[in-house]
Amino acid sequence: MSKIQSRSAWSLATLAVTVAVSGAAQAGKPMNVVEKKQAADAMARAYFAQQAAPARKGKATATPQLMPKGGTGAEVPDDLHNYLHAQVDASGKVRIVETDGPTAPAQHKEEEL
Amino acid sequence: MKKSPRLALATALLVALTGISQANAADIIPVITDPAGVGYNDTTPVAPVGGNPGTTRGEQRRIVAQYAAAMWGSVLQSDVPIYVQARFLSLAAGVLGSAGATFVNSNYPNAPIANTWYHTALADSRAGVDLVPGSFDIQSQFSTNFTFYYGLDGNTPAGQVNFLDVVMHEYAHGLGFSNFENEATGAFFNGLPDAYSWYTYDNTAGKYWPDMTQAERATSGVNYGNVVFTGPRATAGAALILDDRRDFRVLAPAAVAGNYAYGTASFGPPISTTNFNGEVVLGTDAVGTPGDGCEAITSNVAGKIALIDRGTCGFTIKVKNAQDAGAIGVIIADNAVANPPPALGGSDPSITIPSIRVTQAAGTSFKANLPLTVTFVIDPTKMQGADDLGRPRLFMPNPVQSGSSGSHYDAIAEPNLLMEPAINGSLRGYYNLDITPALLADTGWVLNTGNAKIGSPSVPDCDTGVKVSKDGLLFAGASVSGLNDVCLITAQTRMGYYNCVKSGVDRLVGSTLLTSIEGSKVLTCARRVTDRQVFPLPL
Repeated sequence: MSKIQSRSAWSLATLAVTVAVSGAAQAGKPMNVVEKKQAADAMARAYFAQQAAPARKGKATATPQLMPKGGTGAEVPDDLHNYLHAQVDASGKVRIVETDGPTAPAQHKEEEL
Repeated sequence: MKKSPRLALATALLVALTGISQANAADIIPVITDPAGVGYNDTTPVAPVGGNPGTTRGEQRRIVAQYAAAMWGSVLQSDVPIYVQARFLSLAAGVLGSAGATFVNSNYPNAPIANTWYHTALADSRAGVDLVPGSFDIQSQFSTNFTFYYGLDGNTPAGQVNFLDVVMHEYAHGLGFSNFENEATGAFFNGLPDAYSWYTYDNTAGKYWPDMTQAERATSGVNYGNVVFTGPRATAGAALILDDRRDFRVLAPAAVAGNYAYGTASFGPPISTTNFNGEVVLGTDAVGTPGDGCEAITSNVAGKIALIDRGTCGFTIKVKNAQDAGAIGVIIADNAVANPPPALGGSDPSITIPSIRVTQAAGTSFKANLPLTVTFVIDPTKMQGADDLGRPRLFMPNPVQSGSSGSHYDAIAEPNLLMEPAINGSLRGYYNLDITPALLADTGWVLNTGNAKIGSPSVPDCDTGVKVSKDGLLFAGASVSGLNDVCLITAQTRMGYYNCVKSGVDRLVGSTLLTSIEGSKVLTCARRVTDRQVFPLPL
């Protein structure tokens, strides 16, 4: 089962929560901080419900799929996310570098020799 | 005639500017998914720091996330809430965290360019609906094993990393500042270009990335210095912010005359147009490999710039040996393929002469044509970090640096930009977003150009009179929005809220980001909230 399909199953299972999120979204544009907090809490509950749902066990896929609200969508695989790495040189300076995916970067060449 | 997708996008943006002028500041909502006691919920007591009033580590982290979300939300327009999963995890040593869009969408209603991937938050804003309902739009996770600085004032202590700068940078990636191309292979994600790549142009090939074959893109992906972002807003912004270009130039002999890429040193004086001029000769010693400069220099380098090979010993040793022999500067020739030439690391306060690093290829060429005459020049007609047409350069190092290549401005830009590949202490993410929003606008986002409005549940939309962005570069109003949200969620009393805002305003006025008149206007709104809002808020 694709992740988008699994998300659909999950969405059904957590429909009430999702509606609550949408309701919060419509409460005001832009939302005030209380509405944002309510929306965040509702989304967090939906997330934890998703984690507990059996449908979540479906294998994730980045294969494009037709989306209910139009167009095509695809999940961005983890290896296309930007990963931050910290490297500390001999003088104690911290340097932040990014990679696609969790693989550690080669030691930055601001080396000592 | 083939219709240009970039022209189509520009047209769509013009329509958008008029057609959805009623759109609101975006609601960007961090969603904490940490368990109790962990990450954003860490209850470890800490002292407030740098304008961050939080009293636990978790609260300070939440405040930074909220501040960043409010700032970006103030800058961008969208009627669809943007949900950001926010969590801290115990990640591998050296890994600070990760972030990115969770989904991409194409061919959705009102998509500016057909058959093109858009970050899902941007796609939602264009479509006016949540295209992947119930899902996060951006995912972010940071390491519990790293000490960040959680202040909101940019005064990051040495040896720490400013969490707000990191979050602002990563949110920008998730919102649209990235491509979905594999620079190593040239392959587009699922075979489609993305909105970012439509503006990615290779000056050598004379082509945009979507117009290239996969093999051509792979070549372009390592074409350092020659790939630019051609969006009109980013280009216009670059002209406002980038310094005059500083070139390292070989004047003679004619066979090698021209400008060369260089890396700077973390020791010795900064390079200037007055301290790095003259004749270049080989610096050699009498022990082992003569050209490595690891022992006392025996060739005549007095009053000259010494050319020394990288390898065997530290850069500071080589430069110090040259200095002791009377050299006025040093050029280190790399011993491995790398373009741009990386910086020279190390520390030695006794070094008083400047030094730079050039590529292995340049070093080989130099050695075959000695002596050289070199200089540094300031070219006021060009910009540091842009091509000759003023378009900001993208970071395309050779070899590919996965995750850094393509989706950043070139690290050579001066001043340093938020979206360079390395996050450093000179950034001021709490107000200076430089040309990041301009690039996002080129890819399809609509920016807020009016005044920042702050308020509370009881006092919505008080106009502060402070522009969200000043000159499109300094985001004073956005910073005020972030400040207001932080004070609203942390204040226990009315005066606690007011004092929080006043403290932040004083800081912004003190840093000249706000004028005193603007500060007064913000405080007028804060007084209105103080008069009508009951604290603490029911959060």
